Amino acid sequence: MKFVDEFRNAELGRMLSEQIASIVDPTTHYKIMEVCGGHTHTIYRYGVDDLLPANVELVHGPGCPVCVIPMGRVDDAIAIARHPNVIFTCFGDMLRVPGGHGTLLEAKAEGADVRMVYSPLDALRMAKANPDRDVVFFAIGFETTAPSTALTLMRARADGVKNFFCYCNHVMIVPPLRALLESPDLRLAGFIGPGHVCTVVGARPFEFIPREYGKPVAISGFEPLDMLQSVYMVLRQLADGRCEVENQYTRVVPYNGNAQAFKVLSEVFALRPHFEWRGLGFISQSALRLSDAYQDFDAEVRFEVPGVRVADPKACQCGEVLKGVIKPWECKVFGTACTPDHPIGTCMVSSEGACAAYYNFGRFAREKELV
Amino acid sequence: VNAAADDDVRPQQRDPAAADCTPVRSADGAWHCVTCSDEGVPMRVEQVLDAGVARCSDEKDQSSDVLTMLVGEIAVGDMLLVHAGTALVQLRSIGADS
Repeated sequence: MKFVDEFRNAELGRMLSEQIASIVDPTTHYKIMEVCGGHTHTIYRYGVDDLLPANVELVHGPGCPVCVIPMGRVDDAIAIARHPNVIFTCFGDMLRVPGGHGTLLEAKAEGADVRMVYSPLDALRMAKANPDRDVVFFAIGFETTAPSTALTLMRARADGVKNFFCYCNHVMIVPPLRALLESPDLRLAGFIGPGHVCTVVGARPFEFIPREYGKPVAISGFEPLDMLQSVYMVLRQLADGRCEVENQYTRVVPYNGNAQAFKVLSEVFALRPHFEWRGLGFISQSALRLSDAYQDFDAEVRFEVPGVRVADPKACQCGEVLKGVIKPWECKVFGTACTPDHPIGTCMVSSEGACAAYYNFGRFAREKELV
Repeated sequence: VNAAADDDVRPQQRDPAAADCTPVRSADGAWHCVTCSDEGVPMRVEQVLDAGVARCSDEKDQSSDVLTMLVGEIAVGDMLLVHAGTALVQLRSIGADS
């Protein structure tokens, strides 16, 4: 398929691999963080890390909204879902994320009307088809997903739909990156930036990373050649003594973002003063709520939620995994008590979570790294 | 690049009770999690419906309605990058052939 096949060319991959090997300093250990869970997924699905020199290490960042959702927010979602007149809708992976009192899937088994949707528009259709029920959509995701929620809410308003509500958990990628960069226990050489987030916000919001922290950034696509080229771009900058934001994903990412998306986001959403991130704690101005103009659609206004903060299970080390401090297999419960069948931590739930990616594709990396 | 990776090596569906929460398998054969904001499915515009909505199909001819307000004017045959039912950008050949 066009836009896909040409970025999986094995010969080009080998050439890029050789070029990467030719520019690294063998005496230096390079830690490069890929921000997106989708990148983590690509790395293990295609064995990208096997094409890199041993001293180039890819570290997995906090770019999976499922993985960073705190348990208390899941409990709030379940509380809404248990209302007798509610149809609660969410994306598939959220169904299995454990809160302090079980998962949405367990709530469904106990009688709550919880349904999976593929888009907010599906949820709006459900509201129109069920005018006597309150349909709540669990909105979650970074800047890539937020416009979809915003456009759907604008459509709901235009169509006069009164039984559609949004439980808003949209988060933004720049604040946690800043928090990570302030973390003293993380020594990174550079970043691979989140390509699809940048289709909305552009590459410009990442300029603070080279400017304030002196780290190079390459905004990357999600095919294996995209990732190899992005690693090369970061290493090339380091070799040349440069430090800037480069856009590898030019076929999709406009450097200044999507002006229309900014417009709908600013109309429908407002910044939360602070929001809790799993493993990172509370980060100010890192998440979105519905704007005052859209309060009628806000599930947290329409329904009472407990709003109780729940501590992570003691055995779970998702926080350290999300910060790239430890590899997933270094977590005490990885692959034993915590598996995709029975996830304890969020990183094992999502198919793009670092632990699930290791478990499904890269579990043998453990032996390799131990040698 | 590991060509064998195109075969699905994921374990079987984990929980029969959770059969409806499989991550999306998109047209390029990859598993994606919509929630993670990484999913981007190339789709072709088949029909422009009412304002801001188009019926699009993926590589396997599975069609769905897509919100197109973020990508401006579109026409039948255009390729869009779709995430969570919304077109984020029109795919053009800039960079793709280089």
